Amino acid sequence: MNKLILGRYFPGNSFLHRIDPRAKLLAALYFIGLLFFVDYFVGFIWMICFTLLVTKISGVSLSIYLKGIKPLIWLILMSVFFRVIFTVGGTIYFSKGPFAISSYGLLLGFFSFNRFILIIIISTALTLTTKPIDLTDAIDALLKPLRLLGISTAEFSLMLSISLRFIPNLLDETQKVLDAQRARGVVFGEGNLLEQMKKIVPLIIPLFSSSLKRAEEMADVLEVRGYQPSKKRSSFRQLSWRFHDTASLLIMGVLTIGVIILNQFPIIEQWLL
Amino acid sequence: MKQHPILSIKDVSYRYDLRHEDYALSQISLDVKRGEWLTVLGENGSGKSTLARLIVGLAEPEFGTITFNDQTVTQANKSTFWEKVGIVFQNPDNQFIGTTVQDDVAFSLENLNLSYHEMKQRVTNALHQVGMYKLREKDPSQLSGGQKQRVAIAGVLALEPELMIFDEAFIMLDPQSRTRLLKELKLIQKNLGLTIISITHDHNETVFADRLLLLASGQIIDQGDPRTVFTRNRYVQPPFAEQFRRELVQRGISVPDNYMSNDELVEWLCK
Repeated sequence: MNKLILGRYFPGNSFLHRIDPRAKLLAALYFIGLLFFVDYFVGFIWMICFTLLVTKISGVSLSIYLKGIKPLIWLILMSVFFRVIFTVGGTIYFSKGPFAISSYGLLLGFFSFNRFILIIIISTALTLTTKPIDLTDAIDALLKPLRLLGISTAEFSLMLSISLRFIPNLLDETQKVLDAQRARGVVFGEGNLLEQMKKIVPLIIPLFSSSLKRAEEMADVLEVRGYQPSKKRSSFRQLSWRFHDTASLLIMGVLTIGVIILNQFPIIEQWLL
Repeated sequence: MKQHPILSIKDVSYRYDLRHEDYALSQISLDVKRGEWLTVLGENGSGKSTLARLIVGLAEPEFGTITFNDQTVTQANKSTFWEKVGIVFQNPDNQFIGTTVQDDVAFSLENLNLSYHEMKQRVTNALHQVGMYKLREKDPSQLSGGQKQRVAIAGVLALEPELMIFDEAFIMLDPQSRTRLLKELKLIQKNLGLTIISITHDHNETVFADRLLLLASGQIIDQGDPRTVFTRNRYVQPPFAEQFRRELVQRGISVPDNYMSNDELVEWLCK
């Protein structure tokens, strides 16, 4: 539970920390979208260089980002593996039934691997340098146009912020239930998969029960503190957009131009295939 | 001219399950004067929290009426009263909404759609009143029990309410923090002219009350100034000072035969 770096915030004052959360969120989403338009090897090198630059200016050590990849590495390798064995093209090194290992498959596998890793690193950079509540405000701001369609985005953002607010309480409670179960002789992490799953049940039930009770009390609190979903609310947290926020979005334009140009040069592909 | 009560409860009855005859509150009538501190004392299941829920509009009485500032509170108009009647619950962890202290205090003000500057001013004032201004950027979940309750109180004070209800809000605090917080609250009450209803089963909290109301099995047993109520109801465990006074009397020491607060007893002993 404590190994996951994605979603955590590291307090700091780096350039990336100071960028408006809306700009960061927009740029991160744009970068992830752009990754799917990179066609060739050199394009990926360009994106990797940019990602390394982002990690550098985030003021957080690269090893922290790599730690963030670690819990997900088997999932990534498995999907890359399937990509490799089900794609045929170029020189075929090995083939059996529907499976094959070919130069084209390996290249696409490499591209997939890079996409996964870069998406995780950029998302981690976003969450490491942005307070969860600022991120919620950014989501709320970016979803604002949906209000014109009659969709209440304020409720969604309040829901998000309350969920974020309850994460430490839920973690505390999980620890308490774990300790209570351990005190009664339950040994977690031992036995086969079925046995381990059975041990989770007495953990889940009290957590569900307490969460429901908490939700009921929270509903009362929302009511007595005057929250009415349909009513207009002001916001105490203020976001301010500055020049460097605009500049960071312009950098995404430069990145796009780089991708468009490098998409014309399949240098490695011509040599491999 | 007689002053109108800020809160008037007339013949209120309430039961949680309409299929059963067990009433959580039965034929309760009560007037609360503006600026008074009323402590409602009762054991678990006596109907104290139900009374609080009815006053703030979280439940509707089956019979009877609740009037606030001469206006009857109904489910239809209860939203017009919420900024004038604030409540602090027992468990502060379940009443925080904001992820920082100041965000949480500002939540109710955001619901009033106030301007940023107005909110900033009210949040700053409320946090100063409860001595939490320095910790305004902190995550509420990282605070101590007493600090959490202070934040919850600031959240209500920021609304500039007329009536504040504490539903066993000090039970989770250690005795020292509880007394300190209650003393500070008494000062705030006097400065702002607030009306307070404190619901508790802790007899020691009654020393801060102007009036004490005893509740048992959903009915009012007695009410009046704490001195009279404890003298009239000898079976009810009084605050420590009164217990101590009775102990002295039992041992043959000549002590005035009426209820004494901590300060009065100390003063008498010193004499």
